[in-house]
Amino acid sequence: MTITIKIKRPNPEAAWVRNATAARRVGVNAKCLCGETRPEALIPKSNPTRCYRCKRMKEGKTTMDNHHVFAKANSPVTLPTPVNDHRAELSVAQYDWPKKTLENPDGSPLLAAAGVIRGFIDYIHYLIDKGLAWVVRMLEAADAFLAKQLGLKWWIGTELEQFAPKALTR
Amino acid sequence: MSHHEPTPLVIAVRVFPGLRDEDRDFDKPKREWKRPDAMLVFDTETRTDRTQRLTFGSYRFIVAGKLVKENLFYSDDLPTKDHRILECHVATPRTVIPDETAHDISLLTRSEFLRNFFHSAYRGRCLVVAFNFPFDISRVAYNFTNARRRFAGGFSLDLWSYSGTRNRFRPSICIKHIDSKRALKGFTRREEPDAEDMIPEGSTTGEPEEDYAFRGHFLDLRTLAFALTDKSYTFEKACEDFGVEHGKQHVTRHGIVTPKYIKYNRRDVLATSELAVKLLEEYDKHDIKLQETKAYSPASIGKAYLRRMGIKPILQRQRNFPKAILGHAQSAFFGGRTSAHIRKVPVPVVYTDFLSMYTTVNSLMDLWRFVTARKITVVEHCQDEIQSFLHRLITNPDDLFVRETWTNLTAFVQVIPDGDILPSRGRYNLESNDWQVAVNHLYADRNDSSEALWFSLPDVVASVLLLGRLPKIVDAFRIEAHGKLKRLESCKLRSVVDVDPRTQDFFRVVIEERQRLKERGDDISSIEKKR
Repeated sequence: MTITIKIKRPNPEAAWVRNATAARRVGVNAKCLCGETRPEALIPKSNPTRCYRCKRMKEGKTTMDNHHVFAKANSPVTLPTPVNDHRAELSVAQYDWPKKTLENPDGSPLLAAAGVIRGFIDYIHYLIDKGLAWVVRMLEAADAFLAKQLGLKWWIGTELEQFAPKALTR
Repeated sequence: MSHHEPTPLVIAVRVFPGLRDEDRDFDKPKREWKRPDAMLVFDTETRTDRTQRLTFGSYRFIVAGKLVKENLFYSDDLPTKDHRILECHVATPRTVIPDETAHDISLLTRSEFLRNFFHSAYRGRCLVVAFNFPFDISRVAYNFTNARRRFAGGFSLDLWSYSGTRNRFRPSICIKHIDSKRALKGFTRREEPDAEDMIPEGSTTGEPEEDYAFRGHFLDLRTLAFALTDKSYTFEKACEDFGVEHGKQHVTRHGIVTPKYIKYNRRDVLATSELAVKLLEEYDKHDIKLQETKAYSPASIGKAYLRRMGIKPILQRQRNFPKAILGHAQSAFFGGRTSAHIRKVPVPVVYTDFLSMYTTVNSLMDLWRFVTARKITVVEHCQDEIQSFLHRLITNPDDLFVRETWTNLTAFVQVIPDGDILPSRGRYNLESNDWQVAVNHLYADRNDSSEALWFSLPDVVASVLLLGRLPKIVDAFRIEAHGKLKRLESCKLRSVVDVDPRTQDFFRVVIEERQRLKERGDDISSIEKKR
């Protein structure tokens, strides 16, 4: 199971088209030797197919990018982000922003503020997905495993009992 | 029987067109087709006058079976009053069925809809789904011209304009009707396409190819339903027969924009999307490599099964097979026919039902040996042999009740027709002016071999039986099957029925399965059985 946080995408059709076009650019079933399959993270026309991270590693360069969280036009703030995630997640998320907010050609402070909020939301989602989602999956798998091994209510009589919902509400 | 004076009539014969690029096509590796995970399902409503101009329409964009966007669109010349009704509808969006998740809908102009259409259908290459696609797509076009090249005889629809003329940087959509159920459809090439547009479908490298043009994935559900069932469906009947949950609804008045009518249109799009899912599920039961957008008829699916079993067309098996022979055989091909010898007079009849007529004849003549043969040889100029065979039939027609006789009927005869009762293709109906097949007393203009026509031996046998005399035979050839193709593979028909082309007669398997279907009560639903 994966956690998905539903945020309304302004143009889901366009997002699908971008993804389909990116997938076509790298070819059907393209996959890097490291297992990376996200089309935006793969280098078009590379033979064998390679992702940006592996390319940089081979070249002895850093695999981190400085991501303009709030978009370059709105703020110079950057956060170090793995290059593949930068290309396949965070930049893609910014394509969904209204063009004016993303590019803010006249330097509007209101659009800059909107960009900051959008960027913050995108980054939080990214952090949740990368940092927390696996923990949730692991906890659920561990519970199922323990229930199978030790029976239902396996926590009774262990130190974990103190964290059971009933104990917490006492 | 009184014979009238023959009426002069132009007749037509089928030809075998030699393909210019056949060698190249034979060797061209076929790319794997992968169905896009997104589909744009749309439907339009029109005025009820003779112009049938667009009033409004709606579409659903579905990714991996989930609705991601639903929009309404309207024509450029929609009256303000109607426009307001549409605006009101989208301002208070309601789902068309109670159990659907609530979602927003937007109201788009025709141009905005077409912008989305271009991006999704052309750039993203999603499936474009409609029931009776040519009608709906022509409603959103602003102009048409006569199509050229492979679509010659059809229309080229201009959807995108720029400053009042066709936008050359956008493709057109060509449509050429085959019949009421089928039409060839395709995008034309646009000027200065992007590199991504020139990446062939299924490419594993992502490399653009200079001569590649994306033709679109247009899925007309009417055509697909016909290809799967050999039945001509209305939308309502298709929904019923394929068990669509939210089928077509009815509205009392068409052409007038009302809240009810808008809901009716949206409901039709929902039903279309559900029907698409049902039809594709049914299609997926067939273990064949054929794009569903290219399944034009049951024959397309049949041919795909032959390919699946490793059966190649004759010219791929024997590149030097004489093309003149193929031409003679093709000109003798008349397909099926129906005839009524007594019309508009009530007479007692005996109902005689043939089960699966074509396949039964194929099986009884043991034609599967030719389909799977490693090599087919031609015994030319065997007219003496054919003549003596026909002569024997005059004296002893009961020979035709002997099974072995049928398997020996695989021959073609060149005849100078002289009142023989033979099939011919002519414009028999002055009103329709269509080319139709009829079986008449046929006469050549002159008693000259240049007037001779090729017929299959069974057609000539029928004439001999009816008239009790031999036709004037000029030439004849017989075909013989040798060996079996090397790489024949077993397959499962509709994922259920095993067929081994090496040991079984495919035609017979199909007939028997059809018969068995009537008695099956196990895993098959009543809806499927009825279909």
